[in-house]
Amino acid sequence: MDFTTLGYYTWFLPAVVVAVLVLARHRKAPQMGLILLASYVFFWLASGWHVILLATSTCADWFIAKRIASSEDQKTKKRLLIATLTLNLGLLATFKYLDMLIDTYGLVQLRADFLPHIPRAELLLPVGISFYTFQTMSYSIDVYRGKYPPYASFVDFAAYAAFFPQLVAGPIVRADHFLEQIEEPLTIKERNFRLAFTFILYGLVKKVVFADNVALHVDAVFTEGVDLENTALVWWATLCFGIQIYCDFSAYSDIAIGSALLLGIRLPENFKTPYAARSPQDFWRRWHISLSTWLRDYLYISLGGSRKGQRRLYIALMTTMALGGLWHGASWNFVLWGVVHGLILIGHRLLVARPFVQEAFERKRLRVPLVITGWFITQVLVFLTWLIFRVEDTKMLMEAIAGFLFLHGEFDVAAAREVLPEVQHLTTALVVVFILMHGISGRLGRLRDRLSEGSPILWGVFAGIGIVAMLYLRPSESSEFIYFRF
Amino acid sequence: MKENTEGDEYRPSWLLVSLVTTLLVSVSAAGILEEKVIQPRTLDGTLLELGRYAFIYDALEHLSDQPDAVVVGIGSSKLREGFDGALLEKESAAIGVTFANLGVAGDVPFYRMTSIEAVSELQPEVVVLELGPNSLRTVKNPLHEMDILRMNAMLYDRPLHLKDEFRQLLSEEDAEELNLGIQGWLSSRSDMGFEATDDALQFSDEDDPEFGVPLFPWVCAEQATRMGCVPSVDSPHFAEYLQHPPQFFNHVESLKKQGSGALEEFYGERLDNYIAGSSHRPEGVENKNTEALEFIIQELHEANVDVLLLGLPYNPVLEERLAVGAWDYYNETVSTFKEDERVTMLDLMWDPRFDDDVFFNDFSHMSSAGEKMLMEVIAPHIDGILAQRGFVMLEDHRYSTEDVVEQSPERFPTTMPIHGTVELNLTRNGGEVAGEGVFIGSSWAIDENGSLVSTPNADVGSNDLAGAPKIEYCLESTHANEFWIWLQFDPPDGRSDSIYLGVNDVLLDLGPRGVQGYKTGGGPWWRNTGDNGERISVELEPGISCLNLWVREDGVVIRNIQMTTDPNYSPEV
Repeated sequence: MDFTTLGYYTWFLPAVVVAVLVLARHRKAPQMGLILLASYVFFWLASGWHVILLATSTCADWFIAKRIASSEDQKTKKRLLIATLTLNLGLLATFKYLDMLIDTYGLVQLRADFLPHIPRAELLLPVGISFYTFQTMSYSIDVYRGKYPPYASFVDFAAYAAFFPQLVAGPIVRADHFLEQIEEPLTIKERNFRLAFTFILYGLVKKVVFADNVALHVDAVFTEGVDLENTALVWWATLCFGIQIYCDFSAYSDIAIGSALLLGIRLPENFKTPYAARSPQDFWRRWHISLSTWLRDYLYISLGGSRKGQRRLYIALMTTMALGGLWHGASWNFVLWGVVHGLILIGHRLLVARPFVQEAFERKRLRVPLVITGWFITQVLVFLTWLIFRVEDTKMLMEAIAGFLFLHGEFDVAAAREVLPEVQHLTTALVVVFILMHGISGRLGRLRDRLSEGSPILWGVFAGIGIVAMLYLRPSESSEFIYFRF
Repeated sequence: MKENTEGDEYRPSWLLVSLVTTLLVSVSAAGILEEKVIQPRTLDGTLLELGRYAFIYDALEHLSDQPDAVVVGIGSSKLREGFDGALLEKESAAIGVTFANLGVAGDVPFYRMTSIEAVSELQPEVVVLELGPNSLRTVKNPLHEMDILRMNAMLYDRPLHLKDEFRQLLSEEDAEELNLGIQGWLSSRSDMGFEATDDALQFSDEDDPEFGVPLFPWVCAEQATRMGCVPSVDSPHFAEYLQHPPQFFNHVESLKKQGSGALEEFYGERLDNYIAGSSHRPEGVENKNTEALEFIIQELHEANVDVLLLGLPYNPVLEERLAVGAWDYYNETVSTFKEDERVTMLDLMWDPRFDDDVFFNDFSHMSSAGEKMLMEVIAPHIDGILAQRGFVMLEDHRYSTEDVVEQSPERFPTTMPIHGTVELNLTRNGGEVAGEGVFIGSSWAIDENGSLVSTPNADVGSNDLAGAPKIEYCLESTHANEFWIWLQFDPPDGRSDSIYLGVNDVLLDLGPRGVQGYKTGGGPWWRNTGDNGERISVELEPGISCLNLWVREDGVVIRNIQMTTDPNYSPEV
């Protein structure tokens, strides 16, 4: 089961909402018990026996965090923390990165044939493992740091770790945030419902109508790798992928936030119109916010952050970005993607530190052109890095990057159209609509917030059109959420 | 997201208004999209190769709205080309019946089973169901992409209340691919809506070069002159289209005009390839189509709908080219269905009446002439079924096939009426046996007046059938019926006036002297009783029967023989 499964909306979510808010009304303990039960059912339906890994990670962090809190000895605390980090990172390493390491070793072994051959483990990647391990780790780290005491109730903690709306693909929620939400029994609130429905509808439209549609064009170009010398085609496919990955991932977050809101629990936002970002730093404040802040709080700062000089800052930044890239998947592409973003961030820091740049920004006359230039360069770089994210084959990637940068000197729109799937007018229209909506959202703030606060008739019109669009404009070949594989 | 979510009690008004608005907007928007964007593009063949795949439920709905009883034809392009509802309506003696052609090019029973429940719901009186080598062709498992596309187009408008009993015949893979149930209904919207919307966004102001009509938004001319097109359901042409869709181009006629070389080429390698094609290659084993055919027949039978299983003929050039035993599977299937009480089997595949390529547009599809002939041939059979269902028939209706039969009298039986009277054409006998023994040298003959005469009149008579000259008149009856027989005698005297009468070589029990035809004072005069004084009648079963006349006394002259379903009928003197 996932958020594109009809059953999620027709029976699962309504059943959970009714059970939690009506049957267990005003009673917190049964409510959390029901949420925990529903979460494990959801995870079982999505991932089968991998539910054991979730339970293992949950139990380990529950007991270790308790021990950390109760222990007086700093060394013991540290040992316990290392134990839980080892366990969680070990799970990740085993199930997510083992084959990548074996493949890399295989490359070495090709040149040094005296080394023994190690076969791939071929383990299936457990759904959501990158998300729930990060959540439980952050809990133990926060308890270790004394940021907050451990949860009093195991059921509450297990429900936090397994909370079904964000279990599979985020957003990554902090334990104190979740605890804050469940201090009081969960109740029905009209505004929550409004917002929730708006979030869910927004998410579904983004995923089903926008992401899945443009994905057809992306796959046609980057899976086959045809005509990558044609800059027009590479630009179009890159633009489509940028829209696809944003609409796909943010859609999951929206549906997760909406689902949680139906139960009265607010989850943190994960995206803030990232393609309106005016600088690389700004982009990371808007893109996958829950991961960015997690990496900042638990990795970047731990590595010294900006407190230990420029050199240390750059090392911390590069390490954080490289590991952040690796978090996305067991491929060196993602590491490279993180490294390039790290370089862009460092380059940006170096550039804005230059006096002439600071002076230029201080001049009122130049501010608007500079902001526009900043936005343009940022987005060009962001979209360029999407190529690294999407194109796994190295040779194809090099060709695509050269094509993106117009190094082949070919720009043929008509030839590009030949390569694309038959459905082109609809995709073009959707791209235009997306750009307009994203631009308006970036300029005026969240449209969905305004919508859920406004007239019910206006909401109904939007919802009606959204439902019809989902029904009629969904391509027959829907793809699963991209971030499922992370 | 704003933080203020506290203290907000549940008030249904906002949600209620938004929900109602959502419903209204989504229903209206979906309706507009269906009507303006999707339906035109499914019916005009933009999204499929043929719009007809998507018109089944519209057609059934249209038929259910009209007051007449309904007879529908179901099958592939062969039936689509051969079945002319309007012509059949004229040819049939049945009163108050509409005949509709629901044939779809490329259709096979496996496709059609998906709509058979809705056909049953319509409660037609008769379903004329095509059976041919093509309807028994192989359907792959899992289904081929083209099969899925066509079946999903057929399923597009399938009402949700239907039970989908055909699912039992679907493999797991097929069930996943086909748009069934609510989930399937939802999927089918996007299957069609996605491409239709893309097409609609073209905003072309060009005209279709073939028809001179705008490409957008309606590719077809409203009268649906193109094969792939179906006129819109609201169009005044829809009813007409339902009876008689536009026909294929007549290649045979065109090639004949071009000269023999062109026709020879057509009947050369092209024909060989056509025969070898997968559409006409019965595999000789149970397959998805045979299972589906059985399902369809059973469903219709259970719904009390009569089925006329129709084996349609092919171009005789093709039939002659077939390898020995190539279509034995078809023949065996026909034999099986002839024994099946649930259906009436009418096999015209090898029927010599269609032994001319003038009846065909190409290798398999009928031309206008073929279509006319086919309607004439099947009309009495359909009427037979309708009569059994209690339909009122036109008095003194005459079928065109009776005229056709006269063209080759020795080969074809007279078609018997379901209701009414038929006069046997005495010149059109089905066989004659010369006399033996005392009758050596005697035989039946037709005199200058067209009367049947036993010649020579040598004053020979016998109470024994052995050796008596026999003549027979073969009759085709579409249904079991009792016929009352009238014979008009004009004998020269009382020693030359009697015959024996029988059916299928079995003597009728009419007394020792058979039927006597002399009356003092001269004839001609009509007799309807035997020597025993009882009315002469015969019970005919469906199929071909032969009425036998044996000479009892030579010199007998018979001017007329009439058979009637009406016991009170009296011929004019």
